[in-house]
Amino acid sequence: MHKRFRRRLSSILLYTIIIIILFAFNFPIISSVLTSLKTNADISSSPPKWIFKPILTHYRNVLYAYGYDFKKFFLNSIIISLATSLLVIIITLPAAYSIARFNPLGGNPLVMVLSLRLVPILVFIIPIFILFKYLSLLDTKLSLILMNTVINAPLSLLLLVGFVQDIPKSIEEAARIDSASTLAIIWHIILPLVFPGIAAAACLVFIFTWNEYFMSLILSFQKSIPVTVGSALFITAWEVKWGEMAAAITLSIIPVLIFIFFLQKYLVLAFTAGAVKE
Amino acid sequence: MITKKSTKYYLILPLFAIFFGLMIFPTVFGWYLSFNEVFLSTFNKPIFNGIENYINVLSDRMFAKSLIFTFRFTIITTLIELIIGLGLAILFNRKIQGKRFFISFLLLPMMVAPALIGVMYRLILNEFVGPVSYYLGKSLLVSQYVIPTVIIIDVLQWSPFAFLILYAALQTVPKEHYEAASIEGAGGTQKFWYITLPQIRPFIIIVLLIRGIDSFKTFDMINVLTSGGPGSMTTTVSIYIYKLAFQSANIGKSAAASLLLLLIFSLPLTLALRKIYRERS
Repeated sequence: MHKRFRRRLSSILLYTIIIIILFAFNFPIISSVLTSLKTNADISSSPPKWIFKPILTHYRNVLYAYGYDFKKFFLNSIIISLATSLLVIIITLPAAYSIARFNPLGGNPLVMVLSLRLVPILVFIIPIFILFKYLSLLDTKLSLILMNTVINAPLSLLLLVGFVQDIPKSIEEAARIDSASTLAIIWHIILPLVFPGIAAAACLVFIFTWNEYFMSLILSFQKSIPVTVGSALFITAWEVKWGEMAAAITLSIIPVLIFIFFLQKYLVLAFTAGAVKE
Repeated sequence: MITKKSTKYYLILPLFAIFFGLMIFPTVFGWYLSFNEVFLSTFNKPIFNGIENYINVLSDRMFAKSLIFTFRFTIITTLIELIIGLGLAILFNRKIQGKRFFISFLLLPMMVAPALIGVMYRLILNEFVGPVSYYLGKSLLVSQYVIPTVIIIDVLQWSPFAFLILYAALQTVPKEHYEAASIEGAGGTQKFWYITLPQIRPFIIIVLLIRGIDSFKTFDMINVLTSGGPGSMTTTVSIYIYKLAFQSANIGKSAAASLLLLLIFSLPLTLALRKIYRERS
């Protein structure tokens, strides 16, 4: 009896600790979500109100009121992230197949790819800014799609090479005897088999692109601004619309929430596979 | 195999093309810019000025200051994140009901854009509406507290990354080792030092490397939260170079600074790659 009581107590203690930790780590997110639901009076009340009547005015303002571009930022982010994920997969899947099967570059291609990934973005983004200025590519979604593709291709390649290597060669050999072209083999045999890997890579690329701020800050000023840059625009020299800003942030993390709860398996797989192989 | 010899090269060509066009060529172009006097307004009329940009950067006290801050920031955050991540990994490495759900929440901060985290803290730490400022009775963004503040924010966002890697690492330690150690009469601490730590050492190095490199490149969160201020107290090298290029509009000097940054980077980079090579072969 005594022992059971002690075990019970220690498990209560464990859960309490976990919940406190989770609260501390997620405090900024929780606080922003609460702020987005408060009236302006509640936001500036002192002491801070933790219990209040929630309202949706700020969301309505952010999405529909005149003078807010947030809907455009959100749409830009969706288009840029989706296009980047797609482009990265289209480019890296054939390359991953080639590296996994023939290793045409010799040596360890992953090391080369990784060293590219570690180069600071600053080294090439300043010249890119000048080059895109020449090419009139500044402030276009295309420029952000292209740059996000370059940044994310190494990670995707790393993951996909691993997945292709896990497929036994004998599966393709039958098709080869029927003299199917390599592209047909990739499309009909490799693609379906590595689909979980492709999904994992695409999810990660989507999130990283969605979260990208630095290059977007440099390459977009009006038409192609994504949510990361756009959310900071609620802070102006004249005033800060805290409620609207909090609503914008909350809307901006919805895709991430969807990914983490429904696709956690892929995310963990992608993160750990990438890191452990590095 | 009937595959034509050239096919394997064609398959890799698109990837190579985008790397060449959008990374390698611009870097070479950056080298060229760094030896010229170029401003944003005169970007199409560069004037060759030798190594003047490099001399300017190296004699700029702001550059040295930002480097020192960045090194301090990197070392402190990376070590704290490693320790907290390891603690969390050990905490979660047991039977817990609803573990998957808890882990989702634990990983949430690192999935949120660092720039958005920066915006959130502008709200939380604001003098008038921020709850943290209210309860502490002071603003944390003043010069006295700003450095510990940005360090804590970075730690709160990225310890979950260390956790993720080290939690996976703990799963790789064979249970028999612990059982054998128990029979030999080893205690919890001894098991940790002599079994767990050596087994997860490669993963610890991975965490240190990835977090170290990313922390050194920090831009988003700090730029949104403090824009490198107050004064230049939280100016990282990335923020310094960014401001040089897009506020001072001095493209030549910023290109020189970014290539010096690459130079600083190539040391841990080559060390890391050599290590990876050795462990793979």
